[in-house]
Amino acid sequence: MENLAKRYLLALVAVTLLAVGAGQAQMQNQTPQAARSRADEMLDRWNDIGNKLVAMAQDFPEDKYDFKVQKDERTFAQNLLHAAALDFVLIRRISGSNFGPDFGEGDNPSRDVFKTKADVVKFVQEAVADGAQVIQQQGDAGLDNTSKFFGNRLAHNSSIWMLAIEHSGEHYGQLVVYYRANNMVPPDSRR
Amino acid sequence: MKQTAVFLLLGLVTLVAASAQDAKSAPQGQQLSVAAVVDREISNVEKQIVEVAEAMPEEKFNFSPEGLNIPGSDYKGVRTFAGQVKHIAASNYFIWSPLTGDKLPEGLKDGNGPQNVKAKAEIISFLKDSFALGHKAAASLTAENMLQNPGSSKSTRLRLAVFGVEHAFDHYGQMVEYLRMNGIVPPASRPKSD
Repeated sequence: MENLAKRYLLALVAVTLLAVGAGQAQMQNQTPQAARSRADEMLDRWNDIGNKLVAMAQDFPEDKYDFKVQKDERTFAQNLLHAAALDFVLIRRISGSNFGPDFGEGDNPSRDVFKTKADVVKFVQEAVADGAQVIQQQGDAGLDNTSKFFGNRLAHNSSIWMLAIEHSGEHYGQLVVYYRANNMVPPDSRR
Repeated sequence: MKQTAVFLLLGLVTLVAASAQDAKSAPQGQQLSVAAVVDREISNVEKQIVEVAEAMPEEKFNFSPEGLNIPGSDYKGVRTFAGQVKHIAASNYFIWSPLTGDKLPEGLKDGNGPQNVKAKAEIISFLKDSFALGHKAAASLTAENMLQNPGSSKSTRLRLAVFGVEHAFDHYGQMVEYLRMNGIVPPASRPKSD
């Protein structure tokens, strides 16, 4: 009787171990679905449009950096500098820290400060990277905080981030037209 | 018992009223729901795109840079101005309808929009209706569902809601260029009168 109980106990332990092992193997085979957060979503959107602008900055020929389609608008380089500069302005307001290089007042840095293609590319890359860092650091709680916006009024950080993303998207759209004016296909449209 | 029921009813009424206030006109600096934030962004892009669409004269609605034959350019096959507007509207429907469960409008089969929508007034009406769906989609976002994927979508509800806005801004940038190519200053870039 005692042997039977022992055997039963051993069998139970074996079955339990097998079940646990099988469960673990199943979990390892399945790709774990990481829980998304609002900050994750914002970060994806930020990086998506930011990296599109970086790709354009890297791809467009340097000798065409001062090209524009019409006379009363920004050049290719000025579009990029403006988009990145506004990013920095907003990143600074949200973070309370002085991210990025000194590019003077406003959000239209002079080409005298960013003379080469490499300078412009670096400026855009830094804006995208710094914004991503702040979004990650502040997380969901940061999106619900408020920061001083234009005219010193307060706005929710989630609204400010979205404005920056939309603003970059608008200038991306303009640069798409600049690309085709130069018989070039925008990097994102080549895929 | 009666008092408790009245108290609960008052509480419910207050809650509903507060939610409506939150979604429509929460003062700056106060807590806004995600639905309210997204709705405001949709209103923002809707205003800008409708204004740009209205600024283009009807006779130039089918303008494409291809017709300018700019030396050294290649605009072959790019969307016309009307095509851009219809594409934004069509995309709005495809992006936002999974959030609301609405059926696509009659004749909408792809990102180019229904073929029978041709006149400027029809196209703008189609555009405005698509943004109405956007507002409905934004209103459907809750703290509980916004990070869930609707139906078989690979994107969360929040991502879809926001992506519609981003996508529209990309094409807004192109439409701005089309206006300038026709000597028209985009409404948002015109000097503001005091």
